Amino acid sequence: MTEVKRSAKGLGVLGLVAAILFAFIWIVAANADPLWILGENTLSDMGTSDVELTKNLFNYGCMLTGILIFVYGAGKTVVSEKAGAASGILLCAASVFLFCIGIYTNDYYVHSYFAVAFFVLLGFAVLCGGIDDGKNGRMLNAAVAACVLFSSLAVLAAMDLAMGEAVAVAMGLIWLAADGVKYILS
Amino acid sequence: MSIAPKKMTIGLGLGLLGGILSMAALAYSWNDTLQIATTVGINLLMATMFFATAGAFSRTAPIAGKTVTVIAAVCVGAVILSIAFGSTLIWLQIVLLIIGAANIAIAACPEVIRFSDSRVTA
Repeated sequence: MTEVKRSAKGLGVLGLVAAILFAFIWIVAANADPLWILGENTLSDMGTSDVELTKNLFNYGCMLTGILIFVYGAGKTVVSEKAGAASGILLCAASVFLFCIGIYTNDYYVHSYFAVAFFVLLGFAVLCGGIDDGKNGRMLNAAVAACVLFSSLAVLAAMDLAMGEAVAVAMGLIWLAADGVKYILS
Repeated sequence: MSIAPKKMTIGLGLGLLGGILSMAALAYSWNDTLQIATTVGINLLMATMFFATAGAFSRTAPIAGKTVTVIAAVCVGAVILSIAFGSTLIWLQIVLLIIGAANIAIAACPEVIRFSDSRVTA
């Protein structure tokens, strides 16, 4: 029987690209709208911005990143076991809500439900990913997961929603990039 | 008990340095009013976590290797909270972030994890 060797490097590149893409979209969209201030406005405010570039970039960016994270999550589910696979499934579910955030902007009442669902699912995906990394001896990735979870929850508890959300998204992107690099180097 | 890796001594020293710098930030931020309590509290949290990390690197601490890494990671999380809150000078926060990242790198070393696990089972 011929043994088929599967590499997860492509999957890792996909995760890294998704993280860098969303970070790039965030920076460009925020710079295009002078009224958007970090820590005072939520990320979702960019989706209803008066500046056309900011609005389109953020909404289509959410959709595109949602698709990339869905594929990454599905791939992670296939190549991982137990907690790692659970992390992949949770990422897939979170990405569906990220896609919906791009469609249903701040003007729709369902937007906040989608946003809460996205952050909760992403948080559990990071937790499961961290547990999987810890059990498999990938301690740097486990440390990133612990750092991401603690800092996001602490900032959400200590400061207002706008800053908490921004830090949670930034830390989530750092985790996604670190997770992608893990597969590239494996 | 086997000899402790040199890296653990470096981690202990860095943890103590981070704790002392955080205590200095705490003293610097105090302005004799109750309104500053949150800022002082966040600086105190940073100091506590740095001293906890230093303690986890000590030769006789009965803490498993993976737990040392998680403590070091939570310490960096506390520094990120401090940066988001703006509880002290930004250059000091960057120095503390570098110290915290170095502690994570040391804690994630296989030989440090092996030695830490041997302390628990000994």
